[in-house]
Amino acid sequence: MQKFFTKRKNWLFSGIGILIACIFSMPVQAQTKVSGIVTETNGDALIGVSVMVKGTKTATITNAQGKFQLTIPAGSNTLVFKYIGFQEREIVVQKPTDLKVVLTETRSNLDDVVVIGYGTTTRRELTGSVASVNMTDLQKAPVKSFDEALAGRVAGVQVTSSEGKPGSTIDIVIRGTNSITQNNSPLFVIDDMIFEDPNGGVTATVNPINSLDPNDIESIDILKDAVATAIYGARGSNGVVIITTKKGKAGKPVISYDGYYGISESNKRMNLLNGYEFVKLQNEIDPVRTKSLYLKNGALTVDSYKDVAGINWEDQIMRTAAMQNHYVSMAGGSESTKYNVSISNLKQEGIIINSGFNRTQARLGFDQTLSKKLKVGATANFAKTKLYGTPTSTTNYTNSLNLLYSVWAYRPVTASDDLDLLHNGTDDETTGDSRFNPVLTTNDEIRETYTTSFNGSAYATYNILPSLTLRVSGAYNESIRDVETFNGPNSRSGAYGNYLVSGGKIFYNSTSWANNNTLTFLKRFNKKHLVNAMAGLSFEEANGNNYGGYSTNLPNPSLGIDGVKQGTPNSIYSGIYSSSLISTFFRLIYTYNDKYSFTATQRADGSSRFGDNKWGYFPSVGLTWQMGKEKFIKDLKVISTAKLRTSFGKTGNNGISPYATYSSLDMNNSSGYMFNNTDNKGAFLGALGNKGLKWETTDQYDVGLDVSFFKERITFSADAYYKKTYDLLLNADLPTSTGFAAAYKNIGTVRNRGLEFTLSGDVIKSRDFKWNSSINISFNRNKVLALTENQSYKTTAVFWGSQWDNETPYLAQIGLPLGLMYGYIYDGTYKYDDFDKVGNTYTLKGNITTNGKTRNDVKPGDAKYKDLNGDLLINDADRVIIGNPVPKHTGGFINNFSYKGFDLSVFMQWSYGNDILNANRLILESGSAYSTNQFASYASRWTPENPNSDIPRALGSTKNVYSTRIIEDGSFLRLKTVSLGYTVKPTWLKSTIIKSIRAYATAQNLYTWTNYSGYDPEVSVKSSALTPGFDYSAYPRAKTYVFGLKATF
Amino acid sequence: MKKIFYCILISSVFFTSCKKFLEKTPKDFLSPENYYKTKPEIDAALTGVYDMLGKSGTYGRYLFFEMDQADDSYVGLSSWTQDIALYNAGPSDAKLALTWSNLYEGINRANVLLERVDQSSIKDSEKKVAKGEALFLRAYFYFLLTVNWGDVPLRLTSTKSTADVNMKRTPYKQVYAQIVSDMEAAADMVNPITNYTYGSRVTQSLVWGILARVNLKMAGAPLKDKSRWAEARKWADKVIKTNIHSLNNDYSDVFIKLCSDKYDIKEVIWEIEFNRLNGTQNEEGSLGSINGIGTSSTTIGYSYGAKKTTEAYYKSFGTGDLRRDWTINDYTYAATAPFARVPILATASLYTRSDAKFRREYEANSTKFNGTTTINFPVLRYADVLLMFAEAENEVNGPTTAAYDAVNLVRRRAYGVALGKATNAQADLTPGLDAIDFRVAVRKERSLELGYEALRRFDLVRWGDFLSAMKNAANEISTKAGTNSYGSRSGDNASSRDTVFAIPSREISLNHDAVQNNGF
Repeated sequence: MQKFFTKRKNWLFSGIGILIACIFSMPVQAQTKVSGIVTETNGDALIGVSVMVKGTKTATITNAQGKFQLTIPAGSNTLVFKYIGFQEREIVVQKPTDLKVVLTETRSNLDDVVVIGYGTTTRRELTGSVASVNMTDLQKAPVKSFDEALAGRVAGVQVTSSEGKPGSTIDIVIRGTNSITQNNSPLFVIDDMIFEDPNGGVTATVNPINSLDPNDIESIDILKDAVATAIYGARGSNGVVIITTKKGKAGKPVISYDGYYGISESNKRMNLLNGYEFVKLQNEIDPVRTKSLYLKNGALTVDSYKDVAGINWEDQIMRTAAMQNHYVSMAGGSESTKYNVSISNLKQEGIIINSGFNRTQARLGFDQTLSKKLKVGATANFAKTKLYGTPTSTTNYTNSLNLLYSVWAYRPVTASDDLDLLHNGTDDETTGDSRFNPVLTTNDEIRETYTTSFNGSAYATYNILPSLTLRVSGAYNESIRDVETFNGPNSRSGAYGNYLVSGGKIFYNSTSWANNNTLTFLKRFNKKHLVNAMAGLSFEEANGNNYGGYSTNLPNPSLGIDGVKQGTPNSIYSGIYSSSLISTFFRLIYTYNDKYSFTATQRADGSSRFGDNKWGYFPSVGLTWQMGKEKFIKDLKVISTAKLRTSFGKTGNNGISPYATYSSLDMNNSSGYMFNNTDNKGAFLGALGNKGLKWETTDQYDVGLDVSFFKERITFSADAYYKKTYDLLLNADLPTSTGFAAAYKNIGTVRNRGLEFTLSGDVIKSRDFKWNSSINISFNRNKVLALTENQSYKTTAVFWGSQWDNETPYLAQIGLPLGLMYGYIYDGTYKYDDFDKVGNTYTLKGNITTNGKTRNDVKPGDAKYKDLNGDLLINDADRVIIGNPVPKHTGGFINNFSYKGFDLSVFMQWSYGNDILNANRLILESGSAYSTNQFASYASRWTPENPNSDIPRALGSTKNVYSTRIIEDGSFLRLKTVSLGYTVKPTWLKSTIIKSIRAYATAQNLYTWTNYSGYDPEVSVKSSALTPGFDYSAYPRAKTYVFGLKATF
Repeated sequence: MKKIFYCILISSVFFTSCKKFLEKTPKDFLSPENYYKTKPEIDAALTGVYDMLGKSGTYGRYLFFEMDQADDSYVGLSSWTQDIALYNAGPSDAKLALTWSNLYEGINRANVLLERVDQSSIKDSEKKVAKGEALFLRAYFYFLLTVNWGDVPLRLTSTKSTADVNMKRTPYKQVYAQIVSDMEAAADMVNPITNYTYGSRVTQSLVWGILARVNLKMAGAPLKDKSRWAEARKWADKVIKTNIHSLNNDYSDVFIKLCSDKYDIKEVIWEIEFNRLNGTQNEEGSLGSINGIGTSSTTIGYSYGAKKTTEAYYKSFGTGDLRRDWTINDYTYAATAPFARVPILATASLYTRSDAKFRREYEANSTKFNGTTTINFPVLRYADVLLMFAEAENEVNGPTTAAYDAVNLVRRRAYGVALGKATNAQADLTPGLDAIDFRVAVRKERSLELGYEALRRFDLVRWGDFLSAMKNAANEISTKAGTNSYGSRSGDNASSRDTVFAIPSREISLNHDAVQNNGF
């Protein structure tokens, strides 16, 4: 891309140069013929460099190979080389032929090339808000894919990973949540291929980000405001992330290796009650049973368990896991042919046994200049991944089915020496829940996802005129995802339940292609007017299908998943979809005098996903003013550059399934009915179609300021934005008396506004010691302005345990932020003062509220909630907003130090002011069931001996409610990446084939400062716009230490 | 000129192909516009309407467990704190919402079929039957709705637009009128029961029998339209006069047959069938697993045994009444294999006994799933028809011989007397009762004969006895049940509002014209 742009500029100047040469070259006596080549520092030829004989009017320009030839008049011997973006150079001609001139670039931040949609521009001319990720910094993190390292790198981009499992969902949200029920993922553009939602969606059977080694990425540019994103029209609302992969460069082949090996371990352990504390609690819950079971009818006392070690189930299931990645690449080429190949292999074990992520990936790219006018190129990426391990938090049916519940709640001690808890599948003392030996079940379950993906793209550019370039590109993607499930005889569902040993596979296949055609006009008129115009036409199509089967009661478990055919068929899956998009787009960037720049874009998108409203139109405009060029700022020596930007535009979101506009006639396993003991298939209207659906639209306004000080040593950037998203594609609730629970409608409005600041600079810049620092911070405020007809608020339940299905801990209400936590205010425990004591009976005083139980049942030590309306009852009317999961601000702070050969990079990331709903504590800090171990914090519960405690007594919190008790501050500051490296002096390597070598040690997630009591504050296991920040049985986050070596040959 | 022509040609080809390119029709599901044409399609659509009878929210569980909580049982799950069965659930309760949505989904499916069936290519005679069945089912869904909620939105056309959300609750009087007129129309369209060998189809006997039930309800609370007694009598009599139906000699065999997937259409006129297609709650039911005789044995079939009896109900059975020890268990199962029957000691608290009408030991399947069963639910039995006839006959003509005969037929079977007209002193109802005493007797007989069959709460409400019966039961449980006295909660919590349930809050918040029932 960079080359592409530079080249076009070259043509502009070559035109001017030829003109100059024609007019001014005059025949002179005693001439010397001089010839040579002009290149960049990396050896690439520079085309269109003006070469002038000093003091004369004789001049020429370099040709497509960077070569020049001219005749020096007598008496002259100095040549002047001029080229935009490069430092001017004078050369005294010593020998007339084979002159080799190297020009170095003038480095101004404003000359940085920025990738925008369907083209590039420079920071100078950029009117939009586009953030470029510092790849050098990002690539230091030992992560499988770049999204895991993106959090905190860029202002305005919030990255949340749902939990710590390798390969778990990562949500990237740019400038706040727009959509209520639909996807909020930005659009990903990888080379020429567009992906709407890497975590699923229509074009991503396989997450394309997981298929990419971070080492292969050349640049990541994040488009945030409307003038930048509107060129992607109907899919630009949530921002755009453009990823450009590395390309070969002219020169000798460069072979590089980057590999690391390291270990991961759990960041934190949840402390649980020890054996003694556990038995003490059992005695409080049920003294009769405990007496016979644990106390052997008086032969033992609770104190007898003080010396019993007990089982630490966490130790049983966690491990120190290995992580390694090896990446080898070769790149090189001649001026006309450039190539790059790379392969990599990654193995990341999870810190819970039998889980992890593996990837093998290969990449190939080449660029070929065929003629002065024609250039072609192609890239191909092939990747296979395997993601495995029992998910810890995905089961919705009952809370006790989730893995970590079994780890935490399993009893640490038994009353019998013969009872081998570690090797028995179930514990006879456990009744009424689905607890199962977590080690056995994890080892005997298969939850594996295999993916294979191929991405290929090719392009051709043709310079019709020096200022007019046609670019035609095509991209193709083919993906297969194979999801395998198997429950062996020692797993929970294999030993228990209705299906016993069971298993199945589902295959998801998808292919998609895209064709982009753009015509770019780039020309400078009268030195002052620079016009960069682009018009384009693109076509895209995505096709997919899935099929699979599942069978139960497998007779021969030893055959594993391959014996599925012998079981009882249970479910068969099939599906097919197709979706297409046609777009035309236009962009004009006009720059006057390098001072004022104006951008206008217009895109029309036609999508097969919509019925009567297939076409949508998305305009935008932007303006910049290089204030730095004005005299009043030039005079302030402190400021080196200053730029003011403003933009407005409309963008869309089309995040619905391909056939959402259709009513569907469904038939499935559960829609039938029996007549005469024979099953009959039933047909029914499964979805109420809406042919009138159209794009969701966002209006966005942005004002930005980019300033640099002290010769650009310090740069500062600020943005303020206001976004209003309306006609939301809402899976809107319908009153069920219509016969439907929900249907897609364009209804509802959400507003986001925010501020973003980035400050970076070279704090110390001496010869040996350098310290570079960058900090960014973002503030986003979100508000729901409208919901579906009649709806002033919408409460949402979280399905993680059937006994909680009736409670709705989340609220979306007009006038308030989306997804607030909603429930009761916890008021500590009932104290003795709250009761009248008659004999040994405590009766609640008349002016004290109940807690949902009948008054007579309320006992000292029970959980108490605030009665807000004074009716002395706790019911729906006493619920209020109890937490806000949206952070007040988020940000990142990076410091890079280098001293001679050593480099140190320290990256910190934070989130401030967000709340987490810690549902773990509802179960594990409640003492509501016998034989269920609890968190260590429950040792200080209310007991008659500890009557001031505000933690409810055993059996004191039986009502299932969400309250402020389990809402916790999720603010954190994380020391995310620390990398220390040493680069061997090049002089030492002279006699070897090694060109450079750097050895490094990196720690990831090294330390987190937080008050959150759970495993990790970066958590959202039921991640959606309506239910953020929910923690139940989340996979713990690992800290990773790796040692690596990076070498080039 | 030629150039212009080609330009136009090329661009028009381009735009047409663009248009085609953007047309993507679904291939893995059908569009409703192209359906409802052939016999198999109409059959499948009709099956889809029947489907809603067997969901968790309907006869899969709630209608006979949570929503039939009355004075003959208590919820034997002490861990429950809030539930519709405890009469302390709010409008946001998920069970209420599910039953409501199941029933309306059935109504919409029926409406779609009724609108489309005329355009199908099937024979007129087949059309008539399909329409009759759909019409009856829609009316029956409305009957369940109005019995449980009072005024309900009466949607008689299918929902066609996503904006079609607001609708006022239609006064129950109007809803009943619609139910009666639809069922009467359906009665002349559906087949006689003799066309089938099984009892899950809508047939003439069934429609007539349910019409008797609807009219009984209309004669009682809340409508209290006395003219309906005669109607109820008429429809019940029509069923009797078919001479197709008769009682099974053996009371327990009625239920054993239901457990073991055998049909007896003489007695069981309408049963909801459950299957084990995929072992999910949606196709299997909870009959015999949420209630039944509690056991964790998977050989017998896991049962919570969560519907426990009350002392008053147990004792209301007369000496020699064989129905008692079938309705309420007199044995439990041993905790270990072979899970032998263990008789319950006479000294044990009566409150440990359960609703045992449906016993999984008779379930037909060799492998039995935990939590779900394939036991069919009897919605209408011939015994019910006889008792409905007797009740209505007494209200219209007094305790006539016909009324006596009907009750005695039921009672003689209950006491093991061979069927026939022979009198039996022990079994027969005291002769010579006046109309008021006869009413009391026939009401009691309904409770004895039809206990735990999703009719007790229905009967109590229409007789106006619901609240007093609940309070009496609570009183009894809290004084006599000892460690099971928590079982008084349903009665303790019940108040005058509870003759109907709360309108689900979701309906209230999304349907602007709907208002909440009093007291919720």
